[in-house]
Amino acid sequence: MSFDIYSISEIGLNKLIDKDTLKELFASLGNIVRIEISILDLSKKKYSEVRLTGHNICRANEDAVRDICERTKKGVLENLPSVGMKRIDCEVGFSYLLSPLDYETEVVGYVILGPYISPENRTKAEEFIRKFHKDEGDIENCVNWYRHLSNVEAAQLMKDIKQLLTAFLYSSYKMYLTSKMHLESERENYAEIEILNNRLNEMLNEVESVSKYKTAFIKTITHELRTPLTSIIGFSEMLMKECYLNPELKSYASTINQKGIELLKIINDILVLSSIESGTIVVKKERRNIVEDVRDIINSFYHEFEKKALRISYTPFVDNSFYEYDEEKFKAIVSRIIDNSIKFTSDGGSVAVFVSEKFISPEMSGDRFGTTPKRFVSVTIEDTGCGIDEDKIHMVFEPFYQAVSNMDTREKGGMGLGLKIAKGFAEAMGGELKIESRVGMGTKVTLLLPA
Amino acid sequence: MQFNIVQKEVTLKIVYYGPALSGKTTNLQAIHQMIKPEGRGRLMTLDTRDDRTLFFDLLPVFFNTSSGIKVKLKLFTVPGQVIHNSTRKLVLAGADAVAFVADSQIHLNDANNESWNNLMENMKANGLNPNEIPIVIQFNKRDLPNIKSDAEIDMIAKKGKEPIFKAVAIRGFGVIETLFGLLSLTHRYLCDRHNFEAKFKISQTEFLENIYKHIDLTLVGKLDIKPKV
Repeated sequence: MSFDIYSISEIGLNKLIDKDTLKELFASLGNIVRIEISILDLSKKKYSEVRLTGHNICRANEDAVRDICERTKKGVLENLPSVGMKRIDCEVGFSYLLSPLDYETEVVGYVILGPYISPENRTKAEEFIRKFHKDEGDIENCVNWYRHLSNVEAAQLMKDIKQLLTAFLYSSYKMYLTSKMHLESERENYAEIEILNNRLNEMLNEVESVSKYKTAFIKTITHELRTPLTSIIGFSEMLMKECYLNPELKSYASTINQKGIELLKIINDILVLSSIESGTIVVKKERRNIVEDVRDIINSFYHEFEKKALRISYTPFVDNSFYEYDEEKFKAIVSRIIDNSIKFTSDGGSVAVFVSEKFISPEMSGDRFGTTPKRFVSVTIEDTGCGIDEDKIHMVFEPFYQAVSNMDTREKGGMGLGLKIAKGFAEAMGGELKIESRVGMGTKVTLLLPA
Repeated sequence: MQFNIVQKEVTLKIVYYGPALSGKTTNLQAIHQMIKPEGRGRLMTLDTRDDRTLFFDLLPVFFNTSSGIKVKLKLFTVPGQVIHNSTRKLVLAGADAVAFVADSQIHLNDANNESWNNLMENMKANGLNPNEIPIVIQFNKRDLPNIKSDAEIDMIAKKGKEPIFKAVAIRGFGVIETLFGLLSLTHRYLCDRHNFEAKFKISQTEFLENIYKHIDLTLVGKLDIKPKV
């Protein structure tokens, strides 16, 4: 036997599963179709059906129920006693499947398996039908319209339905339990994650406001520091030029002026560092002659080279000298590196500067998704200074860090911001800054910019 | 991998990584739409600002094995924006496998590289060995103009050990292939690392078929997911 079960509800499950769970099961099944089963033995004036009593019919579904009544040829609603049929017990073994549940659900469909007329009781059935129809033709049509089943077949049909329903209900119940368990664990997870998410949101807002406050604070404080510094530098410079001051006082004024300029440099560095860290740095690229620019920078350090008797060599290896970069940032990077080389190279040492063009394969440049070599212009500054320990080399790009601990770094000046700023500038221009060093041998810093 | 002895449940964490707007969330949305409800849970997309993933998205996919063990795959995405690195690091912790969703557009090569290098760094920071953990790469947005050619992608595939898949995630193309490619690697990895097959009696075929049977392949190419702008 086969029939189309769309789905099922409210069919005596209370004997299998407790009522509360069952309600939950139906609620979880959602938009489910209720199967109505009606088996009617007209000859015996008895029928088995799913009870559609008032308390389990939603008002909204009264039409659907009425429709069921009409299709079953009058008769299953309790409030129609005039039909002359009275409710009798369901078939043995089927009854528990048909007990109603005191709970409302939507009737959206049904399957009718009856009524039927058994051949052995055909005459009695005709007599019964005659009560409602006068015309012989109508009676004949009506009898033919009904399903003709023997009582044995009807009993078998009941049995099959019972089996099918039981199997269906069990599988639904199992599915329901699994999904319920899953839902519960997920619900717990979600609840936890949602609480965390809200907390994270709050924290992010806090961090953002603190970060904004920090940026504003740095800008204000550096501005406030620079204003009096301008006076200090300006007036000390005037004092230095005063002819009636004795040389000792002039040297004091010169120290004030020099330290004032150093302090201004540090304040400017802090300001730059804060814009690098907040990612608000602006790059203005223009086409420039790199060979000339590097030469100018080297020339600006002429006195420092002289002072320490350092040998300086400059070797540009490029055919084409023009590249696109941000002049201000480029000069800041190269100046800082040369400045460092001078600081950390002992008197009589040497500094060599090279400019060349390089093609770097995707493998070497860490370009996992590229297929062609990339063209870079590189500026390399190599010195014969004290060098940096291998285990400290990764620290040189950290702010406020100076790798040379065995020397008096105060004497060398600076706050350890130079390389961090240089790296930030290089990266902002789409390039990178690399450093290689050996203690006692010297340091080689390479600036790579996309060509 | 987490194993709950009481509930007999194995949980695997799979992370979708990649640059901003490469389609990580779209991959999860496509999987969510293609896997029938009985095989998956709710797709949780956490609060976003400007339509971007802020923390992560999470899609649970699960099945029961014949040996009575429930296998739960938790698919996560990370926020792609550079500034959210701490969140990425956190989401990546304890990952069993990573799907890297790269953008096929030529001009986004650097963004792909940056995110890839960031993945490598964050894996190391989380004690995950990039040479051991299964990783697949998906080149998404194959329907757009100005993308890397198939020949270029073949060359990129030869450069590393990670299998490469091509996809149009908003339509559902390549999404399931990427997931299955990753899952087969993951099963092999778990067998090598945790003796997964012997311990839980889940063969690779069963592992994949249990998910495969919940997938509605008729939806491939018919999806129309609205990408983030």
